[in-house]
Amino acid sequence: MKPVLVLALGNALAGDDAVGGEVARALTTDPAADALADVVLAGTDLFRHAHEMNGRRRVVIVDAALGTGDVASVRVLPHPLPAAERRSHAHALDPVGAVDLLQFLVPELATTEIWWLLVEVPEVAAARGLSAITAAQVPEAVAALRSLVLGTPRE
Amino acid sequence: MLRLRPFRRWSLTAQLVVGYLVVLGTGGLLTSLVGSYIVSNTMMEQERRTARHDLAAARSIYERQLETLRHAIRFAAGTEALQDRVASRRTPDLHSYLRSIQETGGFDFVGITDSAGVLLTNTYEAPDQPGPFLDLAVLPPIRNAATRGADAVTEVVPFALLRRHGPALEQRAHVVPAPAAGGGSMASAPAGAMVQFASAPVRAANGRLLGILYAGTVLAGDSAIVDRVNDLVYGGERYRGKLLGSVTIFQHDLRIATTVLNGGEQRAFGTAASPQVAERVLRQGRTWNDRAYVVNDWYVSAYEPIRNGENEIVGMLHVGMLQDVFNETRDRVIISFFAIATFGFLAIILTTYIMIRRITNPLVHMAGVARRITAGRFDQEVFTDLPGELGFLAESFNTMQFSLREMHADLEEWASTLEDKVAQRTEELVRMQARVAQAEHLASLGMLSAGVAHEINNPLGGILALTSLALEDTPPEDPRHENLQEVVRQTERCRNIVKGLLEFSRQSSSDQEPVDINEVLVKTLNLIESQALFFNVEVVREWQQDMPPVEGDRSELQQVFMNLIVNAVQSMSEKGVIRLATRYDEAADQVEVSVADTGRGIPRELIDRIFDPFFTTKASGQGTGLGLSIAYGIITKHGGTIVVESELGAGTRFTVRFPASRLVASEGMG
Repeated sequence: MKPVLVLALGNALAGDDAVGGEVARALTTDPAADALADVVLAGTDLFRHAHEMNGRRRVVIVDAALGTGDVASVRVLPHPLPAAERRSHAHALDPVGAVDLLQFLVPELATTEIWWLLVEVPEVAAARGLSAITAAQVPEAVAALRSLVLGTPRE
Repeated sequence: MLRLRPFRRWSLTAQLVVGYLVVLGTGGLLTSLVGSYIVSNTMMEQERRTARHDLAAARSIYERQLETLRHAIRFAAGTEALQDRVASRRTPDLHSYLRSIQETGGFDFVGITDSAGVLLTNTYEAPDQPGPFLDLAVLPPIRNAATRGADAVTEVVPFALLRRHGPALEQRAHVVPAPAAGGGSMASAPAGAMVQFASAPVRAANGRLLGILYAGTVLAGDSAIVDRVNDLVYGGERYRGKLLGSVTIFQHDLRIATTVLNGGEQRAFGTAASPQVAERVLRQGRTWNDRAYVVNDWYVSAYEPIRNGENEIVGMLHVGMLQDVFNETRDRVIISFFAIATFGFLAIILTTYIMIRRITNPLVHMAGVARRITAGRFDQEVFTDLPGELGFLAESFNTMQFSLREMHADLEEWASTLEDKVAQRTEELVRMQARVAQAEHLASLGMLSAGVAHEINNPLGGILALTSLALEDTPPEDPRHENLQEVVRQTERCRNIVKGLLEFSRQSSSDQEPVDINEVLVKTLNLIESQALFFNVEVVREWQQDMPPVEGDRSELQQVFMNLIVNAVQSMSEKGVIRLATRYDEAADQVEVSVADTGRGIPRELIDRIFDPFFTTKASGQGTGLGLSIAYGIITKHGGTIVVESELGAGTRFTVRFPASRLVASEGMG
């Protein structure tokens, strides 16, 4: 088992909501990072992948954020997130709450480092592909993710 | 019936321009109206399609929330920690554990039943003060969990059951029907609260059913989900101070969660859906995708039913966008459409005018030329360097104008000579009439003369014979001899006169033969030219050679010409020029001889009488007055004509014409 699990959240048919998947996919082309991390496109259901989180040294959840920061900014935050970030996610239910619940239901996860890599997007709407603004942030997000995976988280 | 007379009086350019523009304008107006209608309908259809898509997105979010709820409860039900607590029935510990799940998962309530559906504990009731027996198996998700496994559905939970999970929760969920600010019907009072409800069986390691874990989120009075949908679908955008979009969850026709405001800043909880929407969506189970009046504004809306786990319709999900936005966009498009159409129409007017002027200018030019031609100016021409039919028309016009000019010139020439020709013809007619009259006059004189001559000729013969006999019997010394000689001379003179009368009346016979007129003239001149009478007269001969002969009596013809020549010499007082001319008139097949002198001429009043027997202007005793009468008689006997033209002081010309003979002339006697 690789020590790091990268969980990419987001709906591929919801435009910029798919930025997490784009960033995670890019990481797989990096041999060093690939050697350390498994990448899972989790969609919007973290509970499906709870067993994959178990036993990892670090879980990095890559997600789109809407309305909680400057557009096109990339933020790296440890779990638990501060209150201001708890409604920052673009999809329906709060994944932060889901992680909280998972950590409660699976005590082993309490020792797992969980990091959030959030890419602030201008909007989420039914569309295929990223907007130009969000697409431009992908390299920076990939670099941040790579740092997280290689063990030098950037804050 | 349309009256077009005034229109027809307009110029061709005006008719073409106005006619074209009327057709174009009518077509353009109809096209614009139809276009506006189509644009409006298309945009409306687009808006409806957008609403359907937005509704699909909202539905997706709603369903995803249910799914996540199901995953979370299923996951929780599968943990050993929960299974152990349920199996051991350690209620305080279980209650505490459920409270943790509720708080970390953000659920409104969490509870657990035994395997029969009877409530063991929940997150509200204290474990040391449990409530009365509560059979939650009345709820289908609880009842069916054992057989169907984990599930999450929309369910209407009776208020009585909800109250066991907290009075505050029941109070929040109890949305009271209220009137909308914009009027409308009241919603029916709910019997329970609409909840996103998840349940999952809790089983022991051996698979034995230990209980049913359930959790729920009360939709009524909770704006979180609709605000989330509104943010995601419409971005929270505003239009003129109002939210651009609206998202509502209905419990039946009651608005229990909504972004729509009821007039002020209060959300329109408790207001009712329109009866039309309720009828279609709630009772017929169909979607509504059209404009709808929502509380106090029109929205381009989409509604669809929300069903519970038993597939019964329990509510509606609605999204909509303010129709004012659509109206403004539509109006802007239509105004732009009309502005472009108007601009295009003006451009077409200008272009049409220029093109029609290009077409009609040559026609106008032709019309101007035609008017000038009508006014008599035939030196006009139109341009022919025109393309196509106009060029052909111009060439034809010029050809026609050229023909017209030629015809006009002919007409003018004909008109200018008409009077002369009429005068000439009239003169000829008068002359002919005079000739006819003269001929008739001379014919009557001839008949009279012939009768007289016949009557006198026989007695004269007897007188002459008897007188000649008496003279032979009378010796010359007889004094009667001289008298008898005088009688004989006078009788012979009388007989010559009678002979002349007979000649005039054409009663005398003659020998007919082909005669060369020129030869007759030569011989006549030879007889008389040496006489003293001709000493001071110049004779000019203008004779045409190779003329055909005439058929007649050579000596009689010689007599005619001698008479005419002698008369001419005498009219000039024996001094002047006589011009003798002959010619053959091929057209009339006649031989013409003219004898012209430079004498004193014949007074007009006498010309008609010169052929009368015994008419003479000579002194008494110098002529019998039968010369021209005899000539006339001979000429007419030969089928010829004689015409006299005379001018006082200038001279006279006699023109004699004989029919040409087909016979060859014989050599005349010397």
